[in-house]
Amino acid sequence: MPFVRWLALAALLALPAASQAQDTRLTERLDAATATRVQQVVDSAQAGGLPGEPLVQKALEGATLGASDDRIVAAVQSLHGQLRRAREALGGGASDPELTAAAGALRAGLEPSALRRLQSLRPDQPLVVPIAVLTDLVAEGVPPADATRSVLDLARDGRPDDEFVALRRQLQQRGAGGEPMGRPALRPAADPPVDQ
Amino acid sequence: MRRQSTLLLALLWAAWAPPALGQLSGTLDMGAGTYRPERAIPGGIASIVPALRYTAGPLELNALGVYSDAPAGRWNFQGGTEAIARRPAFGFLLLEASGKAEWTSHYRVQGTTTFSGGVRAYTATGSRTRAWVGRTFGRATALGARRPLRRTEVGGSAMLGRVHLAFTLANTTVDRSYMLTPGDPREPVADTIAAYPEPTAQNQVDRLALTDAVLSGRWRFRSFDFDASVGRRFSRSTPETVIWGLSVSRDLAPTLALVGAAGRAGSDPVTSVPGARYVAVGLRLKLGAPVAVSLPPRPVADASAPFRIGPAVAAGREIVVRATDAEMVELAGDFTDWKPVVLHRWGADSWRTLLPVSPGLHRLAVRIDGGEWRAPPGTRPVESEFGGQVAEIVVE
Repeated sequence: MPFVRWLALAALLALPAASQAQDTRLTERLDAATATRVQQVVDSAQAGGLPGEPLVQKALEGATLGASDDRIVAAVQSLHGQLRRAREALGGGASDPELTAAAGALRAGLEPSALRRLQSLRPDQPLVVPIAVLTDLVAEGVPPADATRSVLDLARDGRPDDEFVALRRQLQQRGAGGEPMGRPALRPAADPPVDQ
Repeated sequence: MRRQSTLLLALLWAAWAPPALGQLSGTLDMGAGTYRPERAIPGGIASIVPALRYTAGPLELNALGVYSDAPAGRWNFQGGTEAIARRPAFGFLLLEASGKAEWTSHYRVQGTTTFSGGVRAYTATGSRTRAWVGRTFGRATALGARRPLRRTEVGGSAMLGRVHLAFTLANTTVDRSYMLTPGDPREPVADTIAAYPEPTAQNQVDRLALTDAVLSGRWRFRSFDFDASVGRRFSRSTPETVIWGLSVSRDLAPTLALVGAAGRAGSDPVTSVPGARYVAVGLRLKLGAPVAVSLPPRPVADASAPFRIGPAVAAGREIVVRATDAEMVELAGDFTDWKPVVLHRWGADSWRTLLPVSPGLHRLAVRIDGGEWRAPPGTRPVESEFGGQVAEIVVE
């Protein structure tokens, strides 16, 4: 009988602990079922060594933007997959912000090899800003190969973060590039002038 | 002459200025196709097009040459160099000064030269839309005569998804002189005196004015780049013409692309070189990094930016959103756990709050007067998985 009492007491003590494991931000903003489904993804990510905070933020973003429950869960699951790919690309030493930024880069269409190369060129410096700028350039329409090359050039020279930001600003000011001097590709040279 | 010398000196200075960590990039196009010029015999043609771009800080230099070889030894060459100096954004404006020298050479025929210089003012809000206005002055030499030219242009561009669209309206005025001799058909014969002109020739000047309206688009899809443009020339003194161009390139390797192009190029009223229709295919070799990397001055806080996050202080970071005629502005982002924060009115058209924001990459959105959540003005919007657009920004 004492054993049963102890068991009941332990169960009572464990109940609040289980409810604390659920992120209160999720339970406050989502219905109970959706919060539980999101929490399962978060727990799965953390068990695999991935950050849970970006997943929580994704769910909260969906709640603020008025998305349906299924759409929120799908977005969180999709981000989980991207974070896993980012971890594969950057390895176990990457910080949570770096993994979040890398997940965005992969979503934008960049190759994992570009992230690995960037990491090898900046082994002792944070990668968040270079990865964010790289993602931004691709989103602005710069071909991924060209954007990668420019960012890697800066990384190779050991430039600080603000120069990566300056590169992005410079491109925004310049526009989307185009043919040199605005001339269409392969347009032949004009014939001699004609007196009209 | 003095103006030309000044322009030449400016170009030389630009070319020899200290190249502080600038970057050189370029392309070499080689192709063949068909060419149908106005008032000349059509035929096959082969072209070589080297192009170079050098950037160092606010300075940009461009050089381009087009050598085309037609059957029977007829060849034409068009070349040009351009120097552009941009100053850092002045409020919401970006000022740009440029000087350009262009010339043509032809088989057994005297070529043309054009020197021009001008200024442009861009809106530089950092958003996906921009507008500009510019004014150019110059002088061309063609057919043995000098021709002063003036050009005024206005334009705008926008990124719609991944398509870059631009519209330009350019008004060009050029004075073309010629010697009027007795019996010239251009001389009006309206009265007795005109019917019996003085026997000496007279120098006459025709002022030619025309306006080109051009809409162009640029789109990148996987390894393909599409460029298209269509325009129309409006003029009382030259035939109105529709001009267009279409080109597609596909990356075969990081430094090699296949290029195809077709179009109708308008005649140049400044130098009198004729227009033509063309179709061509070829290869493009890429040299250096196409995206220029340089060392611009360290960015300074832009007090007129429509959205800004200030430096970290004890109470957090100052966040300011410009929203004219708004009654309420809210902000939400990953640094507020996506809980809407109401901003306080600050000045005539701005809204402000103080929030702790850590350095790094952040997602956020604003809502004005209870409307849709969207990216703050002046930031690059990204599509949200939940519909609508938010912003991703890097906080330093």
